[in-house]
Amino acid sequence: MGDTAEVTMLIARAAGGDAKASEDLLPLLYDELRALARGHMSRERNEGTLQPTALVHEAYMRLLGGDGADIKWENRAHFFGAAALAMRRILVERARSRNRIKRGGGMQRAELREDAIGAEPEAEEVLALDAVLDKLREMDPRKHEVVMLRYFAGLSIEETARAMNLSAATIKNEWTFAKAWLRRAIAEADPE
Amino acid sequence: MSATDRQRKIEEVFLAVADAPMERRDAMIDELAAGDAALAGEVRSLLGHHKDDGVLEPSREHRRAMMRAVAQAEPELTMGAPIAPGGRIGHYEIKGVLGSGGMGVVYIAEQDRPRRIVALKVIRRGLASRRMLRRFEAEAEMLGRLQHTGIAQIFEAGTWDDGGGPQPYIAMELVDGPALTRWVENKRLGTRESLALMAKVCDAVHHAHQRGVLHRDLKPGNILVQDGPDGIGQPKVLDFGIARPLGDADPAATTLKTDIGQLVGTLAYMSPEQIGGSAEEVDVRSDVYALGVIMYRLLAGRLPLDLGDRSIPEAARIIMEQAPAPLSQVSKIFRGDVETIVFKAMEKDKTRRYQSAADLAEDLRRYLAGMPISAKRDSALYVLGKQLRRYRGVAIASAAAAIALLGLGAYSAWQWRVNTILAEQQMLLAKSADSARASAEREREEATRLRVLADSRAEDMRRQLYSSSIGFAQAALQGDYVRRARELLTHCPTDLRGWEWDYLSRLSDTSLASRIIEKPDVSLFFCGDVVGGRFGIRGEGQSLQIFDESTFWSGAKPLLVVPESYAINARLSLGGKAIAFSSADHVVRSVSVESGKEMFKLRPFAGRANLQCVSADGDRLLIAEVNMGRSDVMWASASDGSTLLTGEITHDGDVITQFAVSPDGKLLAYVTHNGKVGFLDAQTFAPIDDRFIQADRSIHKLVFSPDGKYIAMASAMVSLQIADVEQRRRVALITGTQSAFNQIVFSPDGTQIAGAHDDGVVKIYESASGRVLSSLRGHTSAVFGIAYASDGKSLLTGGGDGTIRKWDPSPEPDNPVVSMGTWPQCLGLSPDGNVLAVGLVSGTLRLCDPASGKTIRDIALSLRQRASGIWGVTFTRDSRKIIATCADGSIHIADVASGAIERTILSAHTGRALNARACIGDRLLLSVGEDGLIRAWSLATGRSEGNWPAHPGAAFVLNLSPDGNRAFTSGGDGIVREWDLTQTLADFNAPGRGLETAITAPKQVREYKHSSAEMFSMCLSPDGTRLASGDSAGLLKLWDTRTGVLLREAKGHDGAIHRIVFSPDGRRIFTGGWDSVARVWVADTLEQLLLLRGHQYMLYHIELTQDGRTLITSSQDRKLRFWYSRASDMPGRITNTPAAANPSVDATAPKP
Repeated sequence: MGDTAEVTMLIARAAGGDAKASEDLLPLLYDELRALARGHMSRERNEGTLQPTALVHEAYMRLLGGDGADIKWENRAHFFGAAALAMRRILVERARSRNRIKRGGGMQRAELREDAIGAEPEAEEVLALDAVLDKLREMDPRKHEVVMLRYFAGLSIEETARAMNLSAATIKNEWTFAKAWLRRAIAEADPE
Repeated sequence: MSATDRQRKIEEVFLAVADAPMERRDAMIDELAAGDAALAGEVRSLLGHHKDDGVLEPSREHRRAMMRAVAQAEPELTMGAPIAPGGRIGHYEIKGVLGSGGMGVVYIAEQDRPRRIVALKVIRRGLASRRMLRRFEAEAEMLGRLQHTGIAQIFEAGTWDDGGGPQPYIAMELVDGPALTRWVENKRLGTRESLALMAKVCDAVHHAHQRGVLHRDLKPGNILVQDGPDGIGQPKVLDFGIARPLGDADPAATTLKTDIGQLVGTLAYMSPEQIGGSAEEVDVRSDVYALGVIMYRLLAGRLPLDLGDRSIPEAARIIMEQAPAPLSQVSKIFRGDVETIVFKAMEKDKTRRYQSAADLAEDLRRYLAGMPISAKRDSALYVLGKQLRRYRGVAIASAAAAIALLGLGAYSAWQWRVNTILAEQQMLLAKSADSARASAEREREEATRLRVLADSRAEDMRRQLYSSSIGFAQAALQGDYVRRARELLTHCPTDLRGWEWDYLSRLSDTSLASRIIEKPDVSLFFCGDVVGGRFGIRGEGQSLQIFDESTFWSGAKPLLVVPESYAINARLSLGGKAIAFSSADHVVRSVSVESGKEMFKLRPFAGRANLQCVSADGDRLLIAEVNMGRSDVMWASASDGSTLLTGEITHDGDVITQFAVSPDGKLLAYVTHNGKVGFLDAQTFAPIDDRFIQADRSIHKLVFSPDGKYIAMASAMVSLQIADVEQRRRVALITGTQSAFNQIVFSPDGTQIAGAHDDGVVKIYESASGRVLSSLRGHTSAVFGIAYASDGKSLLTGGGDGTIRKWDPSPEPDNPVVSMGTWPQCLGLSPDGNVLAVGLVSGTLRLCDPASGKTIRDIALSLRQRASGIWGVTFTRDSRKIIATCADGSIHIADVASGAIERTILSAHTGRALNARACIGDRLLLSVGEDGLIRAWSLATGRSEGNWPAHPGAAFVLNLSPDGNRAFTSGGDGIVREWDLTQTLADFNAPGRGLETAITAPKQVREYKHSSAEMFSMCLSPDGTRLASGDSAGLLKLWDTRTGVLLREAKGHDGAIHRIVFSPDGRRIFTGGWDSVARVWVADTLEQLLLLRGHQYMLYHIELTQDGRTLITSSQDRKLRFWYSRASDMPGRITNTPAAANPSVDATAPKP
């Protein structure tokens, strides 16, 4: 029941830097990312070959066209921002449900495969990070964006630099400081 | 050092030290911190958390785990788990899940009232902003009007909030059947049956097109098929443009229906113009294209173009360029007409397609009937027919476009096209007359037939365009799109306008008064507050004008005009005796309002930028000049311009953009470009402390509350922030308004903030909470100036539309309510229009002023205990007596003037007495009741004059024809019966008739067999030629009383229709019913124009005032509601001179 041309427009607007459009893209991206990840997981047993960054790129290409050779990085920053947000939501929701299972749902624990828990970034880490990220944004939106792209969209330092149109050295500094800041904020929030 | 600088320093030191070896760190920190112990401490603290141990690093494991998380994520994740059977959404009980997708979940649910099973689409929470929700509801309401056997009916759209935020839902007809493709396969339908089925789909699509609704996503999955008597099946088209944004394309709204799977599934049915992404290009022919693709898919068993797994751009290219494989390649049987029809529908150039779904249906039926299809006929007639069809298509398309885009001028363009059609026809007719005589004769006849057809369709379309415009205007108003609503209303043809037009026009301008200033394109700002009963207005770059507030609304000329002042801003000073203003030449001038003489002129600062006249507290002026990195400020004498004090403000070298002085004159607030709001002592210009408020960037208005405790800050980011001045802390944030604040002002008591918005709406906010108290609609473009009038209550605004308006900002409902305290079961209006009688369940007869609902007097009737009060009130024709028919079977006759009960007829009917009418002459009274009888009474004596069975079961309503010779009764048998009273009346009026002489029974002359349901409502048109009847199932029918023929019928309400009234001119019908809404209909077509929502529970009764201007409704929610169509009828309105209606108030702006 959709006017899909408008969806395309929405993506274009998000890519053009419209923050509201990025927000509106979430459900769309969510579904797209999920479908792509599923496809890859079922096709290739070697899961290591596909990374979130590739997933995000692929989603971008599928939705907006173009190929890998023609990567207009600056156009993608906002799209990646939206994708990172979608990833963050997925991880946080999953971490929450996992935490519930670990702490309260003893009955269900047996049903979970060991490797499913083991290989995942610690649910606590994701939740703790989620809890302090908004504070970081308040203090410094740029650092927040770096963390979002690095941690949730899986972009490398160089990719983040290109997406944000900044030098790799700057991103590296932002990332180093942000990490320390976040770790301290997490530690202060949770004295355990 | 500012906080930002400090942060920067911390980072600098941290990064410098982070890479250094452990042992050198301490020394480096001490050196770099240069004795700042706090800074050093902070860096050390952070370094303690600087470790290279992989925590927070996006490692390979992390990435892999993320992939797994994404792949395994459940669709329900972001929308919450589906509701389990037995759960509820509003008045629906969930029975099960039908399906789910990106936009939400579709449930099978049972509605409480009326009881029925529906498909309930629950749209994902959180996807919609409040504004979108409003528009969504308005849009769904429009779609609810699509009533066609081929379209799944939308019953209701609403939002439900269980505390987790508003959740929009749509209740629609539950269609029990498979999707189109599966149906055709299962039933093994052949080519002919498939095409017959498609013709039905075309009919449904055309029905929607005629109402200005495009589907835009037709595909087999959106068309379900139910069993039908013909064996072919009854298609039901689903999801007609749901949540399609109204008018202007707002892509944000598309998230409601966004699903990537659907995106791919939809592509194949998208026309080249749709895939091209140009909103204006999409019209009815885009739906025709989709119909063509569906036909191809049904016949060939595959899609015409192979889009496979391609990206959108690649698919787009194929759709735009590649020709589909001919159908005859799939099977020879398609060669010829079938292929021609399908390919004509799928033409890439939309002008070469069928121009409407009706044209496509027509050709399909021609083919099925063995007649030549239109595309192949080749004669002068064919050319004419083709031309006609082509232009008709264009006309429909532009009507649809006009509606879809709500565009200006489209209507006249459309009219022009109709004229073009007619002209072309004339020309072609002339040509055809030249051709061979025999065929010319035949062709002329055919041409005339076509012409008549074109004419009648043109008129049809004109009316449909009107009703669509009304619907969209109502929707636009609900969304505060005032300008658009006004445009739509302005373009409605005058001959079609009725009550609904007046009503919406009133709602589109709720100002108390308006006056046009100068030319209409000027933007009007106020020169500060109203001072000494005077206010100044400043047009952008234009003249300054000072008015006396008390004479302004009577059109008085300005007290002073300073032509071409080019004032950047201006303030009244010296109690309104002078106007000081700064202009672009960096000069501040003051002019005496009395003499018009320049009092002084000064050039206070050397700077070259933005000079502001900030405040005038009586004798002093605060003047500020914005420079890069610092601002100069000064107090100057308002009488002679002499300098009293000068000062300088800096804040981290930021540009300071706005200033404000507190009401007590003690504080001077400023805001920097970066949103930092700081404070100075206004008397010395000395900083108070280094505390500031961090607000949004781009604050462009700064206003102190009247008590000076709070400061309000409006930003271009469409937000308004309120901060506590003493604590330098934000206390309220208003966001989510749909348009920027141009100006804000506190109410004199500080409890409210009025915001002038860029979309032309003025909103009143509660200062403490930021809640919207009311929306003031009237300006047709941005509002710039806003000030409270000197009475401290009314609000003055100036807009980009060149008007100054006056408002009552107190929250007032659009449709005022009068509470009755108990159930107002029936209403009656006196024929002279002076009295509104309300029959209450308590047995009290309340007489009210029909203009305001104010009680004039209560008359208590003594009814048998526990009887449910009064069921009918009518007046004698002279308006002097009121007749109440009551639940205990009694009839009471009271004197309107004195309130005295003159006569009580006990047990007039067995069961309830329901309705009574005084016959002409006011001597004989006829009544009906639950016993199904018509009874006759002498009004003078109360004596029974006869009793005659009229209906098996109850008789609900009695109406008399205008000449009084016929009676109409509606009953529980679903029939309206018409009675000839001639002999009955003659007998009763016969001179010297003895008391014992029985009068002749009314003679039944006609039956109108409405349905088998009970008929609670019925009404005769004022001229008596039309009869409207409504039953307990909500069916509304219109009859010709001269012939007894059924003219029209419509689904009137969900549930019973309780009351029908005609407008005095007979052009409109109003209905009220069980579903708690009142509806307005075109009387001769039964096309629904408006739906009036407001009551909480069912409507008992509706009445229209004698002048036809105000609709009064009574409801089980114990309230009467007054739906005024004219603002001047509203109680408490003193002045109203809407600019559009009364341009003669145009001000006289003297030209220099």
